[in-house]
Amino acid sequence: MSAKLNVLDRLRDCIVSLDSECVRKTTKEAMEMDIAPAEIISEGISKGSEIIGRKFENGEYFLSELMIAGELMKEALRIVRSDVEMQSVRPVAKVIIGTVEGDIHDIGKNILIMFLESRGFEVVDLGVDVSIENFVRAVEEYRPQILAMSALMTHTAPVMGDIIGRLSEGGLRKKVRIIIGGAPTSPEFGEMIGADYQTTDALKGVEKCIEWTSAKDDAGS
Amino acid sequence: MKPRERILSIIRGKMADKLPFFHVDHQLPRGEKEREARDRGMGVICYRPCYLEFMSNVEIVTKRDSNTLVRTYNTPVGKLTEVLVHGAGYGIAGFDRDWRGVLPRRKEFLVKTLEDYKVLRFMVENIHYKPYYFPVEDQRRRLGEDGVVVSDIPYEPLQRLLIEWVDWKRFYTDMTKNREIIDEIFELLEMKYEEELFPIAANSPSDIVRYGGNIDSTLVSPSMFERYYVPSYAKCAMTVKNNGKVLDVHMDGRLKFLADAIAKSQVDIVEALTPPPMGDIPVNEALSIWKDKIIWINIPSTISTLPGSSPHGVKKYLVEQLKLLIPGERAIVIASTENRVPEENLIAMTDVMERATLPLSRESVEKIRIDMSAANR
Repeated sequence: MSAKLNVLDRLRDCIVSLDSECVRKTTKEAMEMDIAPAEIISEGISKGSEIIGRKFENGEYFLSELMIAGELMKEALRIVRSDVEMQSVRPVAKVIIGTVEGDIHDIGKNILIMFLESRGFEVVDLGVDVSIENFVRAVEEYRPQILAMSALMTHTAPVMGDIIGRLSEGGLRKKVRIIIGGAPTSPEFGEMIGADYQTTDALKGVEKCIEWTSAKDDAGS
Repeated sequence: MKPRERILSIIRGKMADKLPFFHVDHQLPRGEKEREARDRGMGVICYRPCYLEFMSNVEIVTKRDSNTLVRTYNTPVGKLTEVLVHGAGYGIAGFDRDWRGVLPRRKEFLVKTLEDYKVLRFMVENIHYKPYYFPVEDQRRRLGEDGVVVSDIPYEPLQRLLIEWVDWKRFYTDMTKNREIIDEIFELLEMKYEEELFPIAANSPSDIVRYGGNIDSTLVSPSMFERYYVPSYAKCAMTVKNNGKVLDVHMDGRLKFLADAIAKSQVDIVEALTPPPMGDIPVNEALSIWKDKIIWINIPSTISTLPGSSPHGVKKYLVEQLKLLIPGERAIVIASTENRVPEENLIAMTDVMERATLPLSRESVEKIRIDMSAANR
């Protein structure tokens, strides 16, 4: 195995074993070996993130482990992004995300953010209890490729439909892919309100975002 | 049988005449269809507090504007503030809810810094409980045989920290770095419950005690559940079961990873088990894993309440659930844990459930399916 592959595999393993010192040391080591920042992200950090995701899905890791992993991956990304070359590397895509008005649940949203960031997406987190106006304003201002919305209550879920309606009225709907999530949503509901994808699983959400950005079609580009 | 007898039969391990079907009173708007559903056998579950919680040496000041409540706890060791935002018509539906029956949402939690735990600790040291049975007695008298009244007590100590006092992000950071601070408050509150609250619940005038809840494995890992929740259920169960009551815990989240720990726990009723597509344990699996427990099945809100749900979808889903429940022991069906189930869906549930005569069999469920298909034509 080449030294390059070896250090990236070690970085992946340090993330998976939630070892902060090892993550810092190995990320710096990879940088010193002149491995391209984009490769450190795709072959080290993202691979670690994928395994963390599987462990979460299988019930080996839970919220506390995810939070630690999220911090470690942020730290690794911070080190990588401090590199001059990295500053010229564009993110995979820009995602605007938030929990809709009337709702303060943010666990699923934050899990999605962690996985998206570790896979090279730029995420603008609008937070919780976000008004319709603020969602629309953020889409206008940031021009994201993807808008992600979350709700955990049956009476707040329809607000996502109102937001999509307002984006359509403002001529912004066709410029952005829309993913919705939260326990009280369903594929039928997603279709009914005009979302492009619905899921209650953060990992499937990340895969869909990757699929969209790989497809390089018109929407959101 | 009337609804109360039906539910109590199941809880006491006997067969009822029909599979019990209930709705929670504060989530059930009154009206013609609601009356029709009740006339056709739907019962009502009423949760009522059986205690008063108060704090000595703590001054609580609440300020309120059009949609915000700011509550400050002044103590000799410092003060903590929480901010809650509520919907329109706050207070008119009672039970701290807005007109739709929705609770205020917590925008700012009491604990914001590590230092704040010192104040929280003081507050917990000064928490006390005293019996207040009137709400339970009053509702039992009013309800008669139309349903059951459940004595309600607060969240489990750790759940209270996690959901009411500390934002989950801060909580998990502190659990990782400063666990002893959390453990100390947990133990203090656990002791208060054991010494003061559980005996009050044990003497309350109801057959069922509901303790805590909103259990979900995304929020609570199996190791946390086993360390902080299961022992607390055991203490509560020991006290209330001595007085002939059963212990009910609201577990409406994803439970697959907690299933073994729940099986070993002293919980008698797994309340609001939410089957797929929202939850992750089908009802037949739940019955097979939790062999000594009663399961209150919650019809998922994506089926019952979400825009786009329909009477046809509700009937189809319920018939599928009945198939999984054959012969129908140890199960009760709750219409929803959501507010404002559309009335046509409530009637659709009633159409199915009034035919769910026990014991269920393949033939009887098939007959219900055929009846429902014929009604749709």
